[in-house]
Amino acid sequence: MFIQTEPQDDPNVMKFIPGREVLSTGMVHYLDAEQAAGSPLATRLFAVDGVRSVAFDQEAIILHKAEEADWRLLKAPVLGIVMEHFVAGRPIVEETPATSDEPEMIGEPGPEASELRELIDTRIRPAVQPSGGDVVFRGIDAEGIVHLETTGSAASFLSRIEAMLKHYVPEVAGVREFLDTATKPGLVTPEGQAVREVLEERINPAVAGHGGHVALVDVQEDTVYIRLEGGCQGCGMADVTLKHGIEVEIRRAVPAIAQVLDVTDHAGGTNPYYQPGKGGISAV
Amino acid sequence: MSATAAGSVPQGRVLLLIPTTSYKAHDFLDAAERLGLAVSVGSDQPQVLEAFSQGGSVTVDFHDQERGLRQILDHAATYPLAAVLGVEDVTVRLAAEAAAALGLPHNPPEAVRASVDKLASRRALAEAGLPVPAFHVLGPADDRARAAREVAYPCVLKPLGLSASRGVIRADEPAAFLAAASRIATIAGTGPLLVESFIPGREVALEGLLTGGRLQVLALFDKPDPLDGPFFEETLYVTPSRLPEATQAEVRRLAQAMAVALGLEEGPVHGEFRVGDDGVWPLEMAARTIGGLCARSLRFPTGASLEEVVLRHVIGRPLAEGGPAEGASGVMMIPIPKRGRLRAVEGQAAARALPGIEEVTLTIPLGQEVVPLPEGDKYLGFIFARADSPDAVEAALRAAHGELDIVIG
Repeated sequence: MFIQTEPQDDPNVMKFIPGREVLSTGMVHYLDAEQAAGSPLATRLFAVDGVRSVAFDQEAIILHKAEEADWRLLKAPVLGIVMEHFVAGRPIVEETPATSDEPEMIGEPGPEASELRELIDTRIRPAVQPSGGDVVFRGIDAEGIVHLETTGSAASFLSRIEAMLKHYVPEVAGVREFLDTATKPGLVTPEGQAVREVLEERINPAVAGHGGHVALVDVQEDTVYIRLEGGCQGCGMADVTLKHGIEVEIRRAVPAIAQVLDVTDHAGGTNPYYQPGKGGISAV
Repeated sequence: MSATAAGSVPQGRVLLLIPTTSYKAHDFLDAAERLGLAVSVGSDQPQVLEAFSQGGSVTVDFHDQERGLRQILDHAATYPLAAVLGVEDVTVRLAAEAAAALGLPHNPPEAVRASVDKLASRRALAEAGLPVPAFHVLGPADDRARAAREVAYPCVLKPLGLSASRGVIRADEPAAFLAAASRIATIAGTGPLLVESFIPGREVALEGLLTGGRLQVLALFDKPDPLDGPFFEETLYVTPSRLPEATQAEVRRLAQAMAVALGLEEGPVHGEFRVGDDGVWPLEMAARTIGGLCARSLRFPTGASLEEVVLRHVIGRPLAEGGPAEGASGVMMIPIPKRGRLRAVEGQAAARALPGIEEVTLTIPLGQEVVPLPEGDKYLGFIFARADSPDAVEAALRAAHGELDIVIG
């Protein structure tokens, strides 16, 4: 058995390709050992010091390591575990992996957490879902930071969600995107990597001239989700940059991509390059 | 003689002339995407990703009209155009000239030129016999002190250009007249001023679409806050109007007459009127849609936005059920209470949570300077509402504004 390794654009991510089927369908992603309890292989991989997350797709095991960890030290134990697992014929997943219906929670349950969950379920999710996104409450930590897992377009609502949660629950100090610290499965697909390459090598060097930056948030099927930052956030011409620049170039380079969606919270921009104003000359 | 939108649908892209400082880029591009319409954006500064745009972006000089026209014609040689649309005042004239040069539907350029010049506009309306306030021009070399002594008060001083009430000041006596003239010079330069009599009353605004010179009224807005000066900061727009039907009919009649007087024939128009005890007074008409983000308060049959209605018009695909805006709705342009640095806008969540409120959008980043009228050239933000009746819309907008605590340091 030969296990191929494939570094990714993100230096902390690496694919291990065993040359045989890993999952029969879909993809699973574990953020810690507790969440991975249903997968004997993931459980063993989390035992390796420096492994931060584990994902499986149909052909590969995708590991995300801690920043300070070194692949030269990690590779040997990881390869050993994977080799031994496949040779022994053990299952990759024994039971249905945890889903967003049973998410890992941050912080302790309490009245604030209950109130926040109700607010999110009854007020925020119905407002976000029609635009193609969703929000899952992942807890409130000791500093009052509410951790939310957003998908699709929901990231663009974060500042408004924060304002609403602060209004109704004074204990809330802020809101944080839960998945910003995790590797999203779509980002390590060939399409995800190709999109990242376009952004890093062609788009970002250009928008840097306006103090801007384009962050890749997620790739799901034929849709790319991006966030405009710096001078692009709140810029009056942001849509021109997106639709007549970023999307054109990504679709040209990655034909599998059909659309690019902007999930930027433009109202939160502090220094947009072009600021709208009552320009022009007119009688009215 | 202008071409008209009637007849066969032209092939090619729609060129949108959008200044980099426009509020409207997002809404027009969004509308084009919903229509599946290929558009190019012509703007006054090179777009940062223009090289990747495959003709989607083109730099156009809006101030040197001859150069701008050449740039558009060069672009059209590679990317054939079906229409050219100016979305802001600074681009409507060039759009008309480019469309004329390309044989596309357009307003006569001289008509558009008159619509963006307050003096030319006043003269055209007066010559057509429409009721206009008494007016005269105060030139840079004229004796201001003498003018201040001789003018009838109250009067209003305006620069010939600028929009959204910038530089418009009421004066009730000579000292205020002289102070206003000096202040306008610091805002708009030392060009001529239009001095006209102040007409008491409430204002209304009309949104319409011209086809071959015939006006289709899309919406009529009441402006329920008094606009009596000394500055004229617009706040509330509520539609449908609650004016008596006879008054509304008179506004519509005058709007059509204004378009004829100015010579406007094609595309969107935004008109403003005063309604006083002695009747309706036409003020101005611009060959574009309503300013800022205010168009977001309007929804048309099938959920179309105003931008979608306009784009459909320019490519000859009008809405099948094209008619006035549906339901009662409105917008508040959030007033800027004083000059300073914007530190915070508290209470947004409470405002959004009120019944009828659809959105609260800030358009000046925190930490930046805010400047009220007559100098200010930016909107602080917008509140949008929709309800069963205009009264409910107005109440919702006022309540939402009441929830906001605008902290300026």
